[in-house]
Amino acid sequence: MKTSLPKLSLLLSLAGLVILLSVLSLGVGPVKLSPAEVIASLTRPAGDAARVIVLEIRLPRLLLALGIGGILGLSGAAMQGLLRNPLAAPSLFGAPQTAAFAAVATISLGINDTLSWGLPVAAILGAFASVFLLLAIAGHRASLLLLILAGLAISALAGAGTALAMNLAPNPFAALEIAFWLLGSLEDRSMRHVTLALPFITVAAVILMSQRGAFRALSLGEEAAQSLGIAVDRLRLLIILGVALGVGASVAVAGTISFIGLVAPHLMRPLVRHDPARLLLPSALCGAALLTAADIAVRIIPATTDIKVGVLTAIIGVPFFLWLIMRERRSLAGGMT
Amino acid sequence: MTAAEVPARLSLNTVSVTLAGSAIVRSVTADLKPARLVALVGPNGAGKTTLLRALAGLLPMTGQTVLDTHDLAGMKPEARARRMSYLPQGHQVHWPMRARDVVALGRYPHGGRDPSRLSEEDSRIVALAMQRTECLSLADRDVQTLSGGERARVMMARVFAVEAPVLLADEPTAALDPRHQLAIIEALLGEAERGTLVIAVTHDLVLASRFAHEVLVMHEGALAASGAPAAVFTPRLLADVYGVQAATISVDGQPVMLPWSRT
Repeated sequence: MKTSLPKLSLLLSLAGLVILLSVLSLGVGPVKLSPAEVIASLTRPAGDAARVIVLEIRLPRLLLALGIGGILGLSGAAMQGLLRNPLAAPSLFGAPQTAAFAAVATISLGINDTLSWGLPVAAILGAFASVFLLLAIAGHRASLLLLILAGLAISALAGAGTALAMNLAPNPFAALEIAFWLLGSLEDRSMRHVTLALPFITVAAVILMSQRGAFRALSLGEEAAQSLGIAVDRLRLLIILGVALGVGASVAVAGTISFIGLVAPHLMRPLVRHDPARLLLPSALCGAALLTAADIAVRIIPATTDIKVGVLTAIIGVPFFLWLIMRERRSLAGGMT
Repeated sequence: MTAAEVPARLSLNTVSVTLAGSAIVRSVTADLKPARLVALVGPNGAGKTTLLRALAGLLPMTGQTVLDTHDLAGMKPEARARRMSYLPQGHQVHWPMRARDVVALGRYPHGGRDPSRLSEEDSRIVALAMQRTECLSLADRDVQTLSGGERARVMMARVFAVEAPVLLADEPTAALDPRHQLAIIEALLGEAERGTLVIAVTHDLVLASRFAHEVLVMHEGALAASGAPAAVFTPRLLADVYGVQAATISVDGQPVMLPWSRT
């Protein structure tokens, strides 16, 4: 089978941007390190302060930003390809909401606190549960419309469950803990979080990337795609599973980070001539760059309390989303179908 | 492997389709020869499109469909896609794509997954298909900006590019002006001449009686009549099946049925 990778120049510039942001990210924080100092710290002996800061505090944070941003961008591109709709987001089938609910429920029940090992496990189990629930409601051969409706119901139920968990929190501190965790953050994450999330994210990325060719045939609609030999039912299941795995693992270690999955594919689409298959890899790189940049920004922006990175992506993402809707409206008014 | 090299005979044996508990297609049996243009006609709700979609593998069905010696039911999706191409109604394209890239998707079942990296053979087939539907000049245009007639030609080229021995088309002439209708029918006839069995659903009885080698008339899910147009299209059949009184006129010595009033 022939590959369908985008132009090398685009991938190289995006990769360059990601590397640049990564070096910056390792240097930014209460102790500022120049790029040269960051690189020099790696050769220092164990126990050196700069080395500890870079490798044990900032590197896990960076790896999570790259992995989570990447899988969010990739999931967004895959969802938009599957639904043939530029407004589809990875949260559409309810996986992140269910993962968040599962995590929050364990905090509320006093099983976990926000940085404990059990929390991400609960969240990943929640994401899995959302897939099973979705398929139980909609059936294995469900139409897209049925899946979207079922996803909507699951998201709403998980949202209500999260609200209930906060409502029933044993004390105000637990409620506050939940509220802050939900905002989405990469602070104080350790290598343990990385080793928990990355395997799931990697498997998700492999699943989503392996289906990329089908998105192009899907441009002609599901029936035409099926007549070209694509098992559309199976494709839908694989995308739902891949997105749930990747996004579930992301929520598990970082809370809710919105809009990267929606925005990254849009930024990249004109650069790959709207090809839904070629969109995946650039969207992943763009998502990684966006989240890393946002995570640098929250450390630079002066504020009395830390701004959570999930808040920042939403603050920037929502106006972008509004602009998208307005542009869609304009093109609809212009007679395009 | 081109369509012309492997002409195939399609046998339907008691094909039935049941959707949500109601029998939409009931025990259709037919034997269709290669290199023919077959018109599948019948009133709205007769089950034409459902039968076509079942043949294309898009709906579960009972009974047998045998292409030469191969039972289609046991075939893998890709193998089936190489033997049967399907043109749905509506001609939708969801992203702005170049016409050439849309046509290139016809090579997907043959392994041509990426329109910008087609093999020489695939590129030749794509260009030939576009030439045969007279849309080569549109190759670099965005399909979403094309007119209905232009888009119909591009989508027809996409189905031709599959080079399947059986081509299924759902109302290929719907919503087209008379000139484009004739262009599409001529293209389908040309495809049949190359050895392909072309099955087209249509409501246009004039086009069907004039161009089809054979017509299959469906009525309430069952096959009401089949054979050469001149033998099948009688005033009696039109009254029974469509509930219309038809006038027979003669054009160049050929009888043409013209539905005139309701019975």
